Amino acid sequence: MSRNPDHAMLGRPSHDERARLGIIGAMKLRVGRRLRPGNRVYYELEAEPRFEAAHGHAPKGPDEIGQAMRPNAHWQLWSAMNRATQEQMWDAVQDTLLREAPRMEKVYRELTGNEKTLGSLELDPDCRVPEEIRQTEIHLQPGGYTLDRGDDDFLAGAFYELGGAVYSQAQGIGTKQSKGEIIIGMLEAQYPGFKPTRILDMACSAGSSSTPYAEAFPDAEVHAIDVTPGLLRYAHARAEALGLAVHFHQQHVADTTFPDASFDLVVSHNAMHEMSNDDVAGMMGESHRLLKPGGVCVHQDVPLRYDQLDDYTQFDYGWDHDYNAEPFWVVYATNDPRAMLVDAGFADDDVYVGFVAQSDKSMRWYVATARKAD
Amino acid sequence: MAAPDAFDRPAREPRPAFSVDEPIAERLVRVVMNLAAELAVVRERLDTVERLLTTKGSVTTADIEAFTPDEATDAARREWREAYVARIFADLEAEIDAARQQLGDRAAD
Repeated sequence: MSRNPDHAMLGRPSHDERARLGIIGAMKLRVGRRLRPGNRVYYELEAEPRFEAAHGHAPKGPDEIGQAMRPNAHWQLWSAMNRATQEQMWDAVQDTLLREAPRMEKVYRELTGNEKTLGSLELDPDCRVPEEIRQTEIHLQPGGYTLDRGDDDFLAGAFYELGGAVYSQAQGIGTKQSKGEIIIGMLEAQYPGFKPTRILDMACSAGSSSTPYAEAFPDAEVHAIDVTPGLLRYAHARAEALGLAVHFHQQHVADTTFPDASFDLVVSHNAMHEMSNDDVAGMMGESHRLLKPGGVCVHQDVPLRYDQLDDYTQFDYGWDHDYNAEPFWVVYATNDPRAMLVDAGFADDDVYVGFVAQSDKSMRWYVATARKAD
Repeated sequence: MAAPDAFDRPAREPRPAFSVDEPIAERLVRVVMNLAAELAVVRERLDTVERLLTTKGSVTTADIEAFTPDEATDAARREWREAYVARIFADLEAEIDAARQQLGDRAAD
C-alpha cells in the first residue's frame, strides 16, 4: 500500500482545489529548496559581519545567530513567504474538507458502529491531553489536534491526513512507501521470521501508520492510541474504509491501560517530536512494560539531530519551533532516546538508534528501537 | 478561499511579525502569493478546457470536474508549475545568486 492510499474517507479535491494544492505545493518546494539556502548567504554576507561589528565577536550558537539574522530583510521576506505557504496549504485543504464534509459524514456513518465494522473505537473524556497540544495549532493545522465539535467530529484527523499528503508531496518525500512499511521492512531484515501477534501503535494521529501493520500482519491484533477524539474518530473510519481491523483507544502514551507483557511489537511514527521529554521517556517506559519478553519496540521520527548540525543549521531548523507551531521541535532534536530506552529497562546491547532510508532513497528517518530481553 | 471562521474554529494564534518596520509588506506577501496561486488555478482550468476540446470538441463544467489527468498530463503540469514558480521568484533567486557570487569573491580575496 502506498503512503497515501486512496479511500472513501479521504477528502477529494475538486478540479480547482487540486490545481490550488498543486501550485501551493510547488511554491512551498521552491521557497524551501531555492530561497531558504539564500538565508545563509545573507547571513555570512550581511548579518554576521554586522553582529560582529556591534558586539566585537561573531555570533555564537543558534540564539545569537537568530539575534543577528532576524533583522535581515531577506530572512524576513523568506519567513513571510514560508509562513504564507503553510497557511495557504491549510486554507486550501480546509476548502476541500468543508465542501466534502456531508459526503464524508455519510461514509463515516456507514463504516462505523455497525455489524460490518472490523475494528473499534474507545474514547475516554478523562484522557490527559498535554497542555501544548491543547494550546497549539500544531504546524498551523486549523483547530489543532484537539478540534472536537461534538459527536462524530473527525475533522482534525481529516485535516491531518490530507494536509500531510500535500506536505510530503511538496517536500518531494516518496509516496510509494508508507512509514509503517519502511519499519516493517527494517524489522524483516533485523529479525527474520518475526511475526507479532499483538501490535500497538502509539500516538497514531490519523492512523496512517497503524493500518500498514494490520495489512502486513493479517493474523495480528492491532491496537492504536492517541489523545484526541477528532484524530481517533477519523483514524477509525479511515481503517474501516481500507478494510483493515484496527482497535483505536483514547489513551496517553505514558499511561496506557493495557496489561504488562501484552504486545510483541510497539511502534510510534513521527510522534516523538510532538512530545515533551517526560512524555517520550514515559512512552519508552510503557514500551518496556507492555512488551512480552523478546518483543520489539520501534520509535520512528524525522531525522533531526542537533548534535549533527552546525550552529547556523540549528538556528535555521529552529524556524519551525518559532513560527510553525512545533513546540517540541528543539526538545526532540536534542533528546537522547538511547538513554531513555536504557532507563526504561532495556539492556544497552538491545538498543539500536540510527537511521533507516526509504526504498526510493528520497528520505531517511530516525529510529530508536529496542528488544526486550527473553 | 474559505473564511478563517468557516467552521467553529478556536481563535487562531496571532501571526508572527517578521518585520517590525514593514508590516504592510508582509501582508502584501500573502496577497501576492494567493494571487500567484489563483492564476495557476485558472491556467490549469484552461489547460483542462484545451485538452477536452482537443479530444472531444466540446466542454461542459461537469466534464471539467470529471477530468482526470493521465500520467503524461500530470507530469506536464508539474513541469509547468515549476517553471511558473521559477518565473515568479526569478528576481529573488537572481539576487541570491549574485550575493553568493559576492561571498565567493570575498572569500577568494
